Amino acid sequence: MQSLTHYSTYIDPSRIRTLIVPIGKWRESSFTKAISRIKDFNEIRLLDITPIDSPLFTPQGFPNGRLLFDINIIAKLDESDMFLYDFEPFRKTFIVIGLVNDDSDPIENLEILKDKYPTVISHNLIYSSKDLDNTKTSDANVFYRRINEEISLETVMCDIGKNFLQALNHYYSSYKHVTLRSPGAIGGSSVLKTKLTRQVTTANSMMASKSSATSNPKRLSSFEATTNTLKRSASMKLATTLSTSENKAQQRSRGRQLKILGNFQLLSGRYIDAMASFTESIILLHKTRDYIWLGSGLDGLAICFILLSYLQLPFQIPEIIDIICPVPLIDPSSIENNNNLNSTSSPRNSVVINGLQSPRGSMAFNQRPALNIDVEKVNLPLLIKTLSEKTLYYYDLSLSHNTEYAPQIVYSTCLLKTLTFMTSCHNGTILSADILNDIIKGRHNHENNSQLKEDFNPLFNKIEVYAFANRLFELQLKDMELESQVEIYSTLAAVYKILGFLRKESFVLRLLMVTLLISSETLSWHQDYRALICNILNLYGIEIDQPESAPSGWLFLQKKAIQLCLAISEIISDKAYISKLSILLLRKYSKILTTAEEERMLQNYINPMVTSGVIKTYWDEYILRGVKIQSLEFDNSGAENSRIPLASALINESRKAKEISKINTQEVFNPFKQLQITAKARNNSNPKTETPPELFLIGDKAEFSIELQNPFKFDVPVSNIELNPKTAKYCTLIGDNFTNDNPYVIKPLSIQTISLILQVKKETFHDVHLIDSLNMSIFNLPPQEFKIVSYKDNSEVNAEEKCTYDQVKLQILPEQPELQLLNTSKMTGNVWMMLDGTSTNFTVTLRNKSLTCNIDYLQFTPVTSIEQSLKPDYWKKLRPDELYSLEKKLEWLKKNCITTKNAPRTMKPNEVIEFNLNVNVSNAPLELTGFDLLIEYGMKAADQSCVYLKKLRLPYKLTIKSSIEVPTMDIIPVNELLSDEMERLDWIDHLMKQIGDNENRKNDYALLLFDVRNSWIDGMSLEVQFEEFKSNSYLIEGSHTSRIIVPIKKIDYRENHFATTPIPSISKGRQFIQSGLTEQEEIGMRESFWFKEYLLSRLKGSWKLSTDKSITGTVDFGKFIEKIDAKMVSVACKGKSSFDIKMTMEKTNVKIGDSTEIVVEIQTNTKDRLNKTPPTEYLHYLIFDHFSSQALPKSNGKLLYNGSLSKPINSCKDTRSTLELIPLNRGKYEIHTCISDAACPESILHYNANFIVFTVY
Amino acid sequence: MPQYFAIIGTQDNPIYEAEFTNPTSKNASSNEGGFPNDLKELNPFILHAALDVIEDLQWQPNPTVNNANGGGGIGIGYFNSNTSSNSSLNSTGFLKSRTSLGGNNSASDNCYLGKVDHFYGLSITAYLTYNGMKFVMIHGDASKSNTNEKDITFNYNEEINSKTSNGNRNKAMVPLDDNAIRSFYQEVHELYIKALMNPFYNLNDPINDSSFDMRVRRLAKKYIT
Repeated sequence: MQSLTHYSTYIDPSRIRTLIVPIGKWRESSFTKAISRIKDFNEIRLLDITPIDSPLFTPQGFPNGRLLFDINIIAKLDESDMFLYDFEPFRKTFIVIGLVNDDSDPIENLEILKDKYPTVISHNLIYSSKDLDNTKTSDANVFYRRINEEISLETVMCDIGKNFLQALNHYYSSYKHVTLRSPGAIGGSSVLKTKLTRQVTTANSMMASKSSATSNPKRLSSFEATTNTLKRSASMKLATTLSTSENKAQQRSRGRQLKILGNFQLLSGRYIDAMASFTESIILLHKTRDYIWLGSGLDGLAICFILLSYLQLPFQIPEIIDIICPVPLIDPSSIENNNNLNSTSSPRNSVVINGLQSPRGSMAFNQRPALNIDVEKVNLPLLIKTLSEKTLYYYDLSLSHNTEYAPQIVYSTCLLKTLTFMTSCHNGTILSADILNDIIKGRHNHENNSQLKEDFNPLFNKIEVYAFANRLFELQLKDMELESQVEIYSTLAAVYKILGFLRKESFVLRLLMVTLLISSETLSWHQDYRALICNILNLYGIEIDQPESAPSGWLFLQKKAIQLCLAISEIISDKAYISKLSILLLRKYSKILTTAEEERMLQNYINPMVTSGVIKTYWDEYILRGVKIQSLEFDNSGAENSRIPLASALINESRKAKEISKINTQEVFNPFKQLQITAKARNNSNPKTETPPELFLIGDKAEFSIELQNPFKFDVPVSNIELNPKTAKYCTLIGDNFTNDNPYVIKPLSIQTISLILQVKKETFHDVHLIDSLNMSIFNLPPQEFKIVSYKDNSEVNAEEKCTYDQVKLQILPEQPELQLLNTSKMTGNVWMMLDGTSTNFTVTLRNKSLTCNIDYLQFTPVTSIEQSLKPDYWKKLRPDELYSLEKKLEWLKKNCITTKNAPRTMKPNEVIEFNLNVNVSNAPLELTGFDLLIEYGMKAADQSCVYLKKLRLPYKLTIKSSIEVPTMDIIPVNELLSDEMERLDWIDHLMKQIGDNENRKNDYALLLFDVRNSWIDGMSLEVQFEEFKSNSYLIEGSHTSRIIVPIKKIDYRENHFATTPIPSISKGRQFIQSGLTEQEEIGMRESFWFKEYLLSRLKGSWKLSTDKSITGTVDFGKFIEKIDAKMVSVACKGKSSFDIKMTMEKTNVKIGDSTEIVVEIQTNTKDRLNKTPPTEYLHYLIFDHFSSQALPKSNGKLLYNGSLSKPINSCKDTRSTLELIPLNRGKYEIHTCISDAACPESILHYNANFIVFTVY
Repeated sequence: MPQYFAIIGTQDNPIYEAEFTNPTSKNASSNEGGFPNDLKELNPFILHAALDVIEDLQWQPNPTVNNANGGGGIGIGYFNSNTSSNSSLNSTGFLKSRTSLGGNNSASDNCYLGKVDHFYGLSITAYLTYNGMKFVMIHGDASKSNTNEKDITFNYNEEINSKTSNGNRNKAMVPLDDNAIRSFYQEVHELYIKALMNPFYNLNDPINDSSFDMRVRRLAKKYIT
């Protein structure tokens, strides 16, 4: 900002305006460097300057004085303040220095300078080219010096000062005889009069209204009243100097002359002389009430005070000052306090100052001795402030005049420099050398540390300074020249910064920018603008270089500030900042931007910047909101893994194992370590939240949907979408046919989905490939990588902190072999019909469709429909015997029903193989409707990292037609020997052979009877086998039933322990099965179960189809024999019941009327019965008619018996009982016996299955 | 005369903003009684800049009354309007009253800072709650709104209107009725505390409650416009 704006200092009128221009070919940096070198010597002591021949301006006159150069590189517009040169001559640029770095002709250069800057009074040239010794000119205004040499440069500046003083002498001589006119009079209407927006205070306005006519005698008297002190006490001296004959105009003219002489003397460093000139002029002007010149004179005087203090010279405050405005004195007590603090400067002003009043108040100071006051006694800062106030007051007064008024620029400059003076002072309690130095040098970069001290009492406190600063806003600043406005605003900003009012600073800077913006003048690019923009953004809390952070604070203000900066950047065409700011605005303030604003930004800033290449990347990196991959391939068969193989990691396992085995042997055994490691390994391999990767095979196509978000209020065109290079190795995108001319447009404030086709081209094997970003070209910008931002945490569009990145997992497997069923022999459409009990062979033909891949592994697993339909808890509600039979059946189905033979283990590409498939339904239930042949096959990955497993499911349908069925079955004892003629029957023949001669052995045998039905349409010949017994072949016609009798040998119950052997369980591992049966029921169940097992293991049946002998089958009796009841068991088992009853009869053929006797011997088997007392069993005799099977009544006409049919017996021991019979009628009779409980005759304890048959003839 | 009122949070963030227009304005034209459009945009900036002064005042143990009225009506204590007769206000600093030096002012009074700043014809008053919320109001110039708005507003958006009439330059700033404004602030403070007691409301969150807005406007109608 240093070079662009000017920070006015209080002593500006004492500084010589100097312009330095480059001549030759300068680089900006070296020129700036040279300028700063020269600036180091902007203060030249008069002592160092060669004396000149001018009494007024010779440096000898005041060797302590200084020449202060105000070095600029920007020329001021001369015409704009030409009208001020009479009034404030210091505004003129006096010196121009040409800085030459080539060897152009000095004379010529001087001429050019004089031509270009005719109003400048002193033209100089400094040659700083390398070969300085070549040409020497005798011209005093041309210097040859190296810029870097300090001493020589100072000498040059001294010589330039001397040149200036000579020129000034010449210049002033032209002023000597001129009647000086006020700026208003020179400039006329073009001069901007001070416009105050506030109301002038009542007293002032009253005066102002009256002062419009200064010649009014009445008004005069009122003025006299205010200045009567002057008249009374100081007018004696004046009276001598001003002859009464001199009219007012002459006095005024003289006063004005003295004032501008004072100004020139200030410039030439003759401060004492300047003070004298000013004092004299003030006296004259005060008298003539020439307000504007009086004000300026007071100002000059104040500058003299400061400069003299700076030089540490003692001086006296002229008496006239005390008259015009009371001089604030220092409290003597505080002097003592402060003397030891700083002896060089004037003391501090903790004093109560009697309020600075309007001139009327000066009446109160009449009693004061009217003498010049030593500066030591005066509170100088306050005095200067008071003088400035006074100046402003006089300027105020002048405003009502038509010509003699203070131009606004004069007024504002005065305000401004007073303000900077106060600002410099506000940090100190005294006007110290440091502060003075700052004022003279125009430095203003103070640290604001005034708040630290407790009872800090500054010369001017913050609020005072601020209040004074605010007075600038009483002026209509916008009417002023741009340059002046810029100066005011930038100075105000600097002041506010020093005060620590950063918001005020930003506000003023904003005003400054607005001013720049609306000015019609064209601004050229300057680095300072960027600094200005940075500054204002910083002040509004906008972090331009941290686009990630969310904005905080007053967003509306920030938005407006950025927009303003943007407009400025546009004017100065700072492209870098246009792009930076517009992107900042879009990214962070999109929410509060209107559609029109955003569209305008797009139109005016974004698009041009994109085209010109300043914006290189798209600004919203959260555009990509999701990627989804959906496979477009479908499994042909329903089975899982038929297309995509299962990959089982080989390496992973070994890796895991390695990890686990990494146990430090030095460590003390930690039993939990292994657990931890395995747990970790498990977690690593299978984190709970992870979704499995999408699986693809090489060559697959997938739908690739991309969700793009446009948070802005304008269209966002996407011209290109690519996979990132990492992904592009594996896949390619098809269907991206957007071009720069025909982009995909995302509508404003929307999320849209684009679908493309993804073609998979390279395998990743076991590794999972992650797609976490895409390369996209937006706004025709070069492609850029965008990460996928997941939705979840993005309730707010640009909440940067919350965003989480998403990724799509992809696993690409190598090309796989594909197994194909070509043919199954005999079958058409995989459907087959079979007769129950048969088995068939098929030949299955398979082919490996793949032309490149081997099948390294093949396994065949048949699954029947029974197994498939079984519920997993099928076993829960079954009794153990039922469960056994069911599981037995299942086991058989699994192992024996479907078998393969010659099954291949590996296959080459495109190989065709055959193998045998055997389907055996001999024991299969009729519900079997089919089976699936599951073929698991696979290959090893080329990189050996894993094995792939695919499945092929071959479904077969079966229909089992029932052939031989066994609807009923029974077991009966052999009670009578059969006649020999019956021996042609196979079973009788067998039985008789077994019994032989011993008739009693017939009791060891029982007969198994069952009905056999042929359910098939054709006849069948059936053979049955039981142990040694082998039946004849019976031909059973279709849909006919015949009974088959098989003799079986009785089982010794006592030897086989049926009741105590538990029913075995096939499937292990089921615990705590409780059948819910009582013990007795349990025993019954076991007996029946084991008997059935015994029976079935020996009973075999096979059949042949009568029409087609080749079709044979077996009969599965177990399938039909549901259960064997207790009666059958007791018939077939010896020694099962608790009683053994043996009945004998003398002869079985009895004549009518012959007496016969039946002997019954009862043996008790169970020992517990022996202790039972009293024995309460009854033996009952039952007599049946053998043919009709009808029981004979107790008294009948067929048989007579002796005694009762029921006899009490003692079962504790073996008993013998007899019954005497006399048959009365011819016939055949059966005598049965049974034992019943005595207490309850209805319940039969034992029924004797053996009975006696006898014939009566 | 229009007012622009805002509650500013501790991080310079606006919590509530409202513009009160003058309902009694006779002219039915659209913008009558309100701020001119360009000023509407500038208001937040002016208000934001005034926060500096408020913060400075907040920590002033004993703000001195500066009588340096070399013609300006901007005495500090602050910027007491010329017509304000209530001189006790002038010395009422925020902290000073806290330490019970506030004289006859009741405890709730010391939050009111009076006129703290001005910008051209606009006066700015402020009120500071104990948790650092700043209630700030820009008081527009009633007389100007009837004459030429361009005259008083800092014209920044359009090109300089050099034809602006100079007739009404020396307008006095609008006298402010301190008592009414203070009452307004106090009642808004009460409303704010009620809003603060809402368990779902966090400090420094914007208040979007329409009933709050309605009540504030009602208060503004009662005391100010």
